[in-house]
Amino acid sequence: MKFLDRFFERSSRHVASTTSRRNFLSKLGSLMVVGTAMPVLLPIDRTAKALAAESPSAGDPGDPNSCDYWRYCSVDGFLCSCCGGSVTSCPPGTEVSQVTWIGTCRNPADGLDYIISYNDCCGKHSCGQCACTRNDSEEPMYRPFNNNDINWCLGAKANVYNCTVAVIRGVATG
Amino acid sequence: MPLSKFAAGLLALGSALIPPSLYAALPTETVGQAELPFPPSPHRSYLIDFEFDNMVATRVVVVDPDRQKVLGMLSTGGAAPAVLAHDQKTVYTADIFFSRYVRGTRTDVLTAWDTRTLSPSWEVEIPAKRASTLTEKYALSMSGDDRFVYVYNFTPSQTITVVDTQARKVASEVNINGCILAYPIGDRRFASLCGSGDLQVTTLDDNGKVSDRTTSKFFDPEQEKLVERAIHLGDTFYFVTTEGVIHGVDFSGAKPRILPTWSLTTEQEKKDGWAPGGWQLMAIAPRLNRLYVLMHPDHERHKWEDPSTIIWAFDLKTHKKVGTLEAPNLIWSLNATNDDAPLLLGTNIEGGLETFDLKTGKHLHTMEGVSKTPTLILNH
Repeated sequence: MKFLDRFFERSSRHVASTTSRRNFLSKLGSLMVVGTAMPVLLPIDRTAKALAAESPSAGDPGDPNSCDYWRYCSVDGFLCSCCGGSVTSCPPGTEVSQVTWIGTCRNPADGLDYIISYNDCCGKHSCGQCACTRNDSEEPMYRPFNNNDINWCLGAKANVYNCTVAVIRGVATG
Repeated sequence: MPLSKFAAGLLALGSALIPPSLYAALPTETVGQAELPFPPSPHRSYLIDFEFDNMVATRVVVVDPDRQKVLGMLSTGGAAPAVLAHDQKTVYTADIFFSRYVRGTRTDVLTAWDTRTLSPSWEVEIPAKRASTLTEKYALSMSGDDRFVYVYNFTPSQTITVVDTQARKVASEVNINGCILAYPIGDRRFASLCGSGDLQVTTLDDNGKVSDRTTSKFFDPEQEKLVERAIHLGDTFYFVTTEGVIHGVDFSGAKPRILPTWSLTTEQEKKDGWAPGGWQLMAIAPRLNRLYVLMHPDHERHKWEDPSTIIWAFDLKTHKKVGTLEAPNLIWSLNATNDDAPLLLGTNIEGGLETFDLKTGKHLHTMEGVSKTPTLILNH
């Protein structure tokens, strides 16, 4: 939801005290593709094994608990790092969805575009912490793999959405 | 002292101790059970509440916007979409339940609620495939004669479950792969909007099975983005692009008739940045033959789902802009009532309900906090 992008960003960056609005902003942990990257459906969950920075470093700058963190550029939902998980791990007792979205985010440290998968963590209801929506492009639902209004806990045992992680899958080429 | 005098004395003493009251003691009471009148008021509104902070235990809030009064609610499962039967007696919801709240066995049901008692009249189990999305108006729809309910499924394979409300069972599951939703047409057809830019029209027989299917070119998805959240008047559906061009299609004939496109904005307005935005961003008041569209003045590509306080009104015959309405709060979804004295209703982003009198164009009031995260409004 685009209004969530704008409103959440305003609320997170400028008017963080507007909690009632923030409550409205928590949404489906659906993910989308930014820019011109092709949507990719990942049939295999690799999130738990993914290697990524869990704390800021010179090469991976920013706060994983902040919506402003570079690799959240296409996230849309609650940040798992605020929900008992981390930027790459689901919170205890939740299940990684087998199906996910891919986005492309530019790392300000090295200027490279990275392919990020935004797996949803499922099986517990809405985390409710750190709602974050920063999508800059979205297609209508007739292009579902470019649409962020869909709950992508499709690949989990229970399609109940809890939060979203952001995992580096590689450097985008071309 | 005679007994009666003694009793009178006691009574006098007692009376002196109890403060005198102008009123007789209240009678004892019994617990009642409210019911809603039938037929429902044409302004009765059903707010589909997505409840983002939960999304498992969700609701439909029933309100009387004239009296600004909550009439009751339906408890739904998994952010269920809802649709009102044309006979006004039933509201259907397509619920998802898990046997252990958020885990266990998933059961999807179509629930038929009595609009008088707001209780379930019956239910039927449907394939556990119902789409889980932000609530879409045409993700749950029904045939013009109320015989069949169409449930949009996304697994991500795309199908429509057809439920026979007479037999109270699933009649069929129709493959619409590559296309979404069920825009209902007449008694036995529904259209789906395809990623290719086509419209696929499915015709059912009286058993709810597919009897015919046609595909027609509708728009070019490489050139423009058509918001799937259309609005219809009879068998004519109006879609809008993210830039504000209306694409109408008349399904009343054997084949869809694509109507000439027209723009919500003049060249100058477009230059000034006016474009539509919102969730259910369009509404039609049939008796006024007017279209209402949420508009914002600072259009950018990513704002097509942004809420707005500004609503433009258009005459559907002339396509001329005939007015502007303004709400005190940001509205995300609209609906208009179908009667001669129509209201325009809008859910604001704080969960409140904005009400406009469409005869005067005046904003009447805001029912604050009547829901949490409403996504759609339905009216009889």
